[in-house]
Amino acid sequence: MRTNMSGQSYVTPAMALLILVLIAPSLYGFYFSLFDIKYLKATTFVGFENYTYLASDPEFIDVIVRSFVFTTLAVALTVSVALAVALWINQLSGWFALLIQIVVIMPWVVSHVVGALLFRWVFVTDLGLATYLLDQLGYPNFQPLGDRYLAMMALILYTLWRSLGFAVLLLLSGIKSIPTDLYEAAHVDGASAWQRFVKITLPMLKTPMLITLVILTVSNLNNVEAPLIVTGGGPADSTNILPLYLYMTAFSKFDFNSAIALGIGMFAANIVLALAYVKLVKRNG
Amino acid sequence: MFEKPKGRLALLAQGALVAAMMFVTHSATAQTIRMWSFLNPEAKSGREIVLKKLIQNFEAANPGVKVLVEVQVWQQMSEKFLAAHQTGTAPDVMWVHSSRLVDAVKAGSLASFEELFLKNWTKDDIADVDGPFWNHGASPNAHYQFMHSRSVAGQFYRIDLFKEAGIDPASLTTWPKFIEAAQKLTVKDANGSVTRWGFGQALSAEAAFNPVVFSVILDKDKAAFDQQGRALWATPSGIEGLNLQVDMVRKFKITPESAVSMRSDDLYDQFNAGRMAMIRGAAARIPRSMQVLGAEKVGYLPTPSFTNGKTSPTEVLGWSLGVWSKSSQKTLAGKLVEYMSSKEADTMWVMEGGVVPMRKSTVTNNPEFFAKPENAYLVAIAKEMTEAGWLAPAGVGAGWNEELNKAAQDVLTNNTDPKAALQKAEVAFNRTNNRR
Repeated sequence: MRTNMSGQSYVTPAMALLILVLIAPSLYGFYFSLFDIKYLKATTFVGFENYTYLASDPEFIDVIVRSFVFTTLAVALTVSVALAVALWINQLSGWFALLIQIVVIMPWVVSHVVGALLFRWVFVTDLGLATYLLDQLGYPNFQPLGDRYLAMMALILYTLWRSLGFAVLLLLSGIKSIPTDLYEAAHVDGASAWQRFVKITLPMLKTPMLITLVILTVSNLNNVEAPLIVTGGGPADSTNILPLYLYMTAFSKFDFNSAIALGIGMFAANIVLALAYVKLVKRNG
Repeated sequence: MFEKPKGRLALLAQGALVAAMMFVTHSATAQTIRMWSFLNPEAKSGREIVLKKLIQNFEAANPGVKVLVEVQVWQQMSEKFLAAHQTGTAPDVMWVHSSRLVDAVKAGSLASFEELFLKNWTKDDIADVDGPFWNHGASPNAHYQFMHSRSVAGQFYRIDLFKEAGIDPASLTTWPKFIEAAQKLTVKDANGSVTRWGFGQALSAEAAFNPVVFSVILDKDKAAFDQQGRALWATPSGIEGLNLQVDMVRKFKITPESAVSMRSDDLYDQFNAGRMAMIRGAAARIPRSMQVLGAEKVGYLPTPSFTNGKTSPTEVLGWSLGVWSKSSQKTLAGKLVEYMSSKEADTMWVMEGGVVPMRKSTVTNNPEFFAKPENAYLVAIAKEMTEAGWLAPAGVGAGWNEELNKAAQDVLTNNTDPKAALQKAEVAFNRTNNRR
């Protein structure tokens, strides 16, 4: 049996481009991270000293914990709300269903920077519309960015607002692929709406939900625009999460030794998540 | 056998071919000087209009030369330049932030003026620019930059609001008097909500600006860093300065609580919108506020101190204009930098750009300009630079504004003890700059 090489020849151009713009720079970045960087030039070979130095930063552990809390809460909230919205849209029909889908997906298609600025101006500055309305309702001096918990909530809410549409689309497509005769059979057997949801909908949505979870986790772990623009990492570093920490380490503190070590570490974490995504897609497909 | 085209078609084709050859020839001989700047020659602010004029003048005086300005984001521009220097793709002419100049010199990225045009200068020429700014980053036999857009960290104020409230700006030389004036200028509506704050500060760690506490430390301790560049902030003076900042929010209520998340750009917007009577900002941004509010409404106040009649030291900033050391057009680039920093150019930067003069001759040759009331702020800024300006010494590093702002946020948000907050800031700064 002769091996058919035609498939590989179709993939080669894309692979070549991927190697050029992603794999080669990543390998070079890892090589770079093994040197002491002075004025953006690799000088003395130091092995893994940049990594150990980064890990010894007292702030680093706080950043990891904060990033874990932010990502977990943001992803869980987004998926929960997206599931509820997707179930609701599934029951709608006609132009109204289309209109709701458009409204839900709109924040996703707006540029990250524009969306974050709008959110900040409306909700979190003392000149914002939301702050003004709360002031009129008898809640003056509402300053989410002056409180470490409210600032984190503001960041999570922004992420929810931003990612909801995308999660709804993924879950809605999963819901629409569930055979309706399963629901009909369950209804005939006397199952309640809740039982149908728990015994049919959720199990059938397991893979799309896991895919959504992985994609949103990767997105949140790499999103620097949200913390940079909405909260600036404050107050007092309470919303300083990994992507912003990397940005500040490189471009505010100019500590490129730590920045490149962190960048490689985050790249490795992204690879793990990407492998999980590929495995889930294969299982689903 | 190929036949030659005939008639009008042939003429057209031959004309197109000749035109194409001329274009290629012209492109091959035209020299392009690349410049990186945060200033956009196509924009409308004073400095940007001046930049465009200077470029047009230079191109007219040097036929065949084009100056291409690649506009950059100012916060990362200097780092990009260092990276581009390593990869050999840096621009011929560069605006380096004064805080990164020493690093740029140590990286060997800037050409010395002695090898370019300085050998043709007389002693009087050098005396005209001589001073701390000229010598910043220099060694005895090498100067690398002209410092443009010089600025200090100081206070903008609304002249009209001061007149309404009967406040004499010249009297605000001490912090207690300053705070009293700010309280007078703070206005509330019928619901008790503040509609205008007396004094705005930007305490965000992102794009951080020089805070009040830094001036207090310099004023009382005379130094904010030791000989090795390590931070010296958790001193009684530092604690007093941090408490002063915090009290402005909590006790005197002249600064909004949202200051913990405000960036300097937010502050300028609020000042220009009339929401703040005074702000702490970079003096180089005053012309922009004057464009928005009117030149007669915006003034400049030096930083008060705790000693009557004395101004607190304050950070001086600027943009160092230099030539890339590996430029293939060093001589031409040097010519451009020399022209952009000439007497003619400095007069334009001052009179049309609204910046502080770089040359002593600009001041002595234009007394009537500086005597005008709307230009009083330039005199105030220049005086403060001379009497109380603090230029970061070589080797201090980066990030002190960010860490000091984080200390203020820590106290305001987490009720951390000021001394502990400053100690934490010292550790973070020293760690970043490898001085344990």
